[in-house]
Amino acid sequence: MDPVVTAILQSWAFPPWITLSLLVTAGVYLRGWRRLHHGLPHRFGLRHLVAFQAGLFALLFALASPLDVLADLLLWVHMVQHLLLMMVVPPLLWLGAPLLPLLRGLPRGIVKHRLGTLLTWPFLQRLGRLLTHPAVCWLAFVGTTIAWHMPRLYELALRSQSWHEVQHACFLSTALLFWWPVIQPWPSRPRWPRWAMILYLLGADLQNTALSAFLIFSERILYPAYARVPRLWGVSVLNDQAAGGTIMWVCGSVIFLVTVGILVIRLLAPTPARTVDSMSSLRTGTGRAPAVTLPDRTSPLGLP
Amino acid sequence: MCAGESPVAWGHHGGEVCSMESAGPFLITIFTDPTPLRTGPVDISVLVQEGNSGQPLLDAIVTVRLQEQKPGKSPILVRATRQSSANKLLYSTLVDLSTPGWWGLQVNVEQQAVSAQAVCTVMVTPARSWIFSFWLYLTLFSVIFGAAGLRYRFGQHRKSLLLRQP
Repeated sequence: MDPVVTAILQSWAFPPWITLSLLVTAGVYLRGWRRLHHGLPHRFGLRHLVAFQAGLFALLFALASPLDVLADLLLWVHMVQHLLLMMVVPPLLWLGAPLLPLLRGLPRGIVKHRLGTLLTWPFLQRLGRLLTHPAVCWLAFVGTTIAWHMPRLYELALRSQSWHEVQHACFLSTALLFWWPVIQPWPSRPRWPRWAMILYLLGADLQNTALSAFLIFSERILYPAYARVPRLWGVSVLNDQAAGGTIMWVCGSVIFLVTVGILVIRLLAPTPARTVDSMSSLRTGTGRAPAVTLPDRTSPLGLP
Repeated sequence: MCAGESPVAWGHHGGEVCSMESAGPFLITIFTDPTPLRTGPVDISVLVQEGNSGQPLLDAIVTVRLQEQKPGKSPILVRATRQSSANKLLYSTLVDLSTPGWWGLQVNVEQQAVSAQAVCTVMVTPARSWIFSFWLYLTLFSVIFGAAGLRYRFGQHRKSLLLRQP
């Protein structure tokens, strides 16, 4: 292999606190998942565990791999990092239906006496309902994406490591909000009809397309910081900018449109009737399926 | 004063570009971190590229010489290596700059019996309190604990109001 490629592949830098936090989160989820899998094997299957852990791994990869190291030198590498943070990590995390496993994985004392008090706070519950409203989620995601790609803010993030971390935190948190009503992790319930999510995603794709086109077709250097760093392999700043925009456009659109496709298929598919799942058996403790049959109301984009 | 090879340098991002110039057959870029430079440990990273193609060169010998621009001060001479850097394309070293002021930085690159130099001048400011390094985390913790405190305070107030009702 080319020694330069080998050197790039060896350029890992693990931020200690983030790495530790992700490892702890993975452990807490695994602990909670094991307890819930015992009682609700269909609701918390192996695929949920795999999805959540894959999401955490993707997050660590985005922040610790050579992507992070090269992001200051190449805009297109920086775009790949942002795409991971906004389009790969959040859906994977929500596909893991993490709400109950994380609560069950924490020590009982913490959940009952600390988190319980906080989670039952009416103000926090109202704030949660506001933040998870699809309109708020969409606006937060689109607004944050546009704002942080404005040259002034993007340059600030490139100049200052602290602001860079704030940028990444903004991207990740608003992307988690954005994908919440799309994935709708169990046991949450959708607040808009499912067909509205198609428009929701297409609207976001429109914004992604417009921003990408701005990067690709701009004839001036939008982020002068990249003109002040050495160019690797003779790639010019404008070509690098266009490549970044192309990656953002193609990868972003593919993810949005594939999700739309999945939603359309599920909307058009006949709704299978199913018995009430083992939530009943958990309540009764008998493990026997009850006689009542209800329409399927599993998470629309979640795992069956 | 001459220092040996340094431990692993932080600042895998390399830091800010101090100098980027063609020197002989090379293109030498010098990065410094943190920004602005402060007294204490300072990361100096160097990217050595082939002048025509921009291909990074990974087998060069890179030495860094720092000279405080005051009379009678001895230079600091240290070797920068790729092993010291998280970004394996860069040659990095960690140097302890103990006094604020202007410092001259000279990088010497040698590869296959060809050598070249690049220079720049850096301003080192006095170190700030450690609190500034953690402002973001301190702010977050303050918000979280403030919210928890408010929650407890209003909860207690509400309980006392409920108890007073007949």
